[in-house]
Amino acid sequence: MKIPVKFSKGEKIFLGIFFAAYAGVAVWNFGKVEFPSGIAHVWQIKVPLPSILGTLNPMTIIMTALLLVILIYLAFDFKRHLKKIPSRKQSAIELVLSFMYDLVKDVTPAEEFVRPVFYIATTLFLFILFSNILGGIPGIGIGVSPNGSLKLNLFTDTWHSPTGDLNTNVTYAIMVLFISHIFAIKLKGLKEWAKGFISPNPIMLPMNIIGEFAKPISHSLRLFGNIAGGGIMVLMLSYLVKYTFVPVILWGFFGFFVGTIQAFVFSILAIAYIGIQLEQ
Amino acid sequence: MKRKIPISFFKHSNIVFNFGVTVVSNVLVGGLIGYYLDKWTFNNKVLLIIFLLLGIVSGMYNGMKLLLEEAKKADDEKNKKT
Repeated sequence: MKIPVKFSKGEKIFLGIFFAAYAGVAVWNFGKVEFPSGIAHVWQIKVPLPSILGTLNPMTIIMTALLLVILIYLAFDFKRHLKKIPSRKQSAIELVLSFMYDLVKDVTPAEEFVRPVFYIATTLFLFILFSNILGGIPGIGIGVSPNGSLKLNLFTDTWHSPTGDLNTNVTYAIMVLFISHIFAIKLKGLKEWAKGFISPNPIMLPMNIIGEFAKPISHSLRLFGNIAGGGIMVLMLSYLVKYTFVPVILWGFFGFFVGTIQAFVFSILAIAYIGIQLEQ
Repeated sequence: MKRKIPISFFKHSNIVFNFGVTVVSNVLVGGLIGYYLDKWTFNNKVLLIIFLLLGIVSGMYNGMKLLLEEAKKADDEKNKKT
């Protein structure tokens, strides 16, 4: 099907002038754009704690706290407006949650662990979804200029996404690892759980241990790579076209589309890792 | 020519992506454990090589396990349909 588009003469003249000016500005801009330097640095502060714990990323902490407040407010708001005949918002949330519940029910073999796993998976899903979407909206942030001083980004960058920081992702992945093993010990008992490590035969013990440690690494790096890589891709693509196109479209694609898929994949994998451990 | 990408394309490409990530992360973990054990003990790179090889073997083992599980799941779905 073809939609006929017709312009009047005045519109044609306006569009012609607009595109000519656009092209002129783009050509004039072409030689002047420099690749922004200092983007590899993030704002960090030192605190007097031993080695690894001694550095903080304040932007991550601020945005995480903000997201938590937003999510808790939304949850209370949702609870206050619960009705027998659901409104639009309520039915949308119910659809997502019941879909997740069915998924958990399929994977988790033990009946009494379905609800805890469901709570963990949906909490992770909602937090990561909101933080990824926040990474697709232009907003206020604090960056580091090339000479090392702090600068305020007013809508020249997206909101700082907490999942674009590896620390957040590793925390959640290690949390899932611990939860899966604790649930397995609770369900099967310590002896049966330890037997799982020498399952085909005792020669596979080091492989199984390395495999267990590899799970949180692949789990966290997948999300981090998608979100941080998306940011770098947007930067490179907008530099290559010399900011002829506004990067908002790319931010939208990487934030909303890739972000939603990755949030879903993260929670699916969390369910799968717990489900594998719970198998008898 | 117009072709629509089906939803199952993402599902299938995710399996392949999963396999790659699993293998690489296993090798990475093996290498890291070997490096630090080697640094803190004899410092002659023997433990590094042993653990790197273990990591490679475990990467292959876990990757194959993942693929076999996916194949089993696909078979089950096929049997359910017929």
